[in-house]
Amino acid sequence: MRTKTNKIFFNGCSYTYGIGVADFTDVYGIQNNRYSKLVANHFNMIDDNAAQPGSCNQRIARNTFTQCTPDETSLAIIMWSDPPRTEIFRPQENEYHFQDLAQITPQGANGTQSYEHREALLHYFTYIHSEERALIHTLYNMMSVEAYFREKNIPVMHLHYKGNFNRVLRHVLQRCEDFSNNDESINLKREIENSINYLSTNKFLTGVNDNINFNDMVKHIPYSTISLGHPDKEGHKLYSEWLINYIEESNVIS
Amino acid sequence: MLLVNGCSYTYGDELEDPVNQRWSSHLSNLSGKKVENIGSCGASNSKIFRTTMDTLLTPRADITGVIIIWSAFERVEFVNLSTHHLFWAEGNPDQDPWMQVSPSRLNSRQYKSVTRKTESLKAFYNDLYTSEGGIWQTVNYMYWIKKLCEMHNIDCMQGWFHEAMLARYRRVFSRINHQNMGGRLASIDKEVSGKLRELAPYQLIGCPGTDYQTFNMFTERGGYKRMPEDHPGPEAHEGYAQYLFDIIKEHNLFEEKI
Repeated sequence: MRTKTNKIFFNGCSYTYGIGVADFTDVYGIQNNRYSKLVANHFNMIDDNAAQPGSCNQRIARNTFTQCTPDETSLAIIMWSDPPRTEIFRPQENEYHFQDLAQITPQGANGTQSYEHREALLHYFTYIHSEERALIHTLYNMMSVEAYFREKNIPVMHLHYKGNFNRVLRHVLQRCEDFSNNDESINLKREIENSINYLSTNKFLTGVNDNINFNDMVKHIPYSTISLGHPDKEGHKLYSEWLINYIEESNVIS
Repeated sequence: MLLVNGCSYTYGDELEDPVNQRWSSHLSNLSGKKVENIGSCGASNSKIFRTTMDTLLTPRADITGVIIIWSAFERVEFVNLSTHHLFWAEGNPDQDPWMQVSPSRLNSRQYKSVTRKTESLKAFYNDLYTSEGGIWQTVNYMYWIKKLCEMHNIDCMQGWFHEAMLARYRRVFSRINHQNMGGRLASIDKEVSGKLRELAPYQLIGCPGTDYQTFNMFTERGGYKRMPEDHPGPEAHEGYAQYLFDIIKEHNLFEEKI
């Protein structure tokens, strides 16, 4: 139990940033209605939120080490994003000035304005990306974050914005079974199991050995009309109630 | 036991007897410590990071130190079980499902597993990969491994294998690039240089901030013989082991922790 600090550190993608809870231009509305703020308020702590819309898991891990101030942090809550997402350096872009590396989602690749980038991204997601690669790179990002907070003696909760990670995990493990007559599949499965075994020693791991995720938890509530595909204020409120209960049950914050 | 990882320079590629002639074996003799070398030819930094993590996260009381010589920023890796048979129709020598890619070898006939995807990889390197991203990722790996070793209370020694990496770093974050690329580059530079500043000199071999030499520079400056495909020869390996051992002694690394 830690009492010397007053921040809860959050990181993630648009779900954690709060897209959908208020108009895009209403930063105050976003910052005050997202689940992270509701949770922090409940515990009378500061919502230290480093999330960015569209984040890939590499950015979430990287940015966690940069943005988190361990001496002031009681608890870290990381909501992992879609494993296939990636990031590239595109200084010629004018949008999203706050992003040093542009965050790329597979479903957005076709809408990329630059012809060369669009073609390259389509090639990338068709021939280079694979569920196996995305899954394992995400697992190593999760392990890095886990190791970092263990070293700092700060409890960390691993959450997932949707069931995508769990689905990819199931697909890959099934594929390992399908190709279990070759040593490569056995080795890949062993690598995945080692990673999960390490993460599973954290009792605050969700979305890996179960399919708990933000999106499924609030799916009976219509998506936000501000940004389709994102939970609205009501969704964030409901999710924050689950998370508060989860934190209280664990007695991780005094 | 020292855990050693890296690319072909660490594996001892082209040596007649890599297991006994590579620098890690000489270092083992010099230090009197056992060495487990998990370096592999063509390894990307992503692979070096994965395999180091994989080894360190499995409880192993016998590992008392880590030495990593990181590979070229631009190497990447991929894996795809569904199309695996296409790549390894002639048999996969080491049963590793991952494939390591280097842009300089995309057209090489020796790497069939890679050339099947040559067009996609060319598009990747032409339009998606950037040195800024590659450098940042490698520096993050270095920082994470340092943190992981701190958590295990073991020493960690790291560096870059080739001085071309340092030249690339300096070009990428040059004044002219800052003028041309504006705020995005500045924020990456800030993060990268901030992470590098947190590393000790013995974790920055061949990197900005120290005069320690990369293996390649050491081979070049020492006039050591190179192998036909340009890898350091056996004398260079022996010499570099002594060079690293001197750094280890200078900083009292890998001594037993209380």
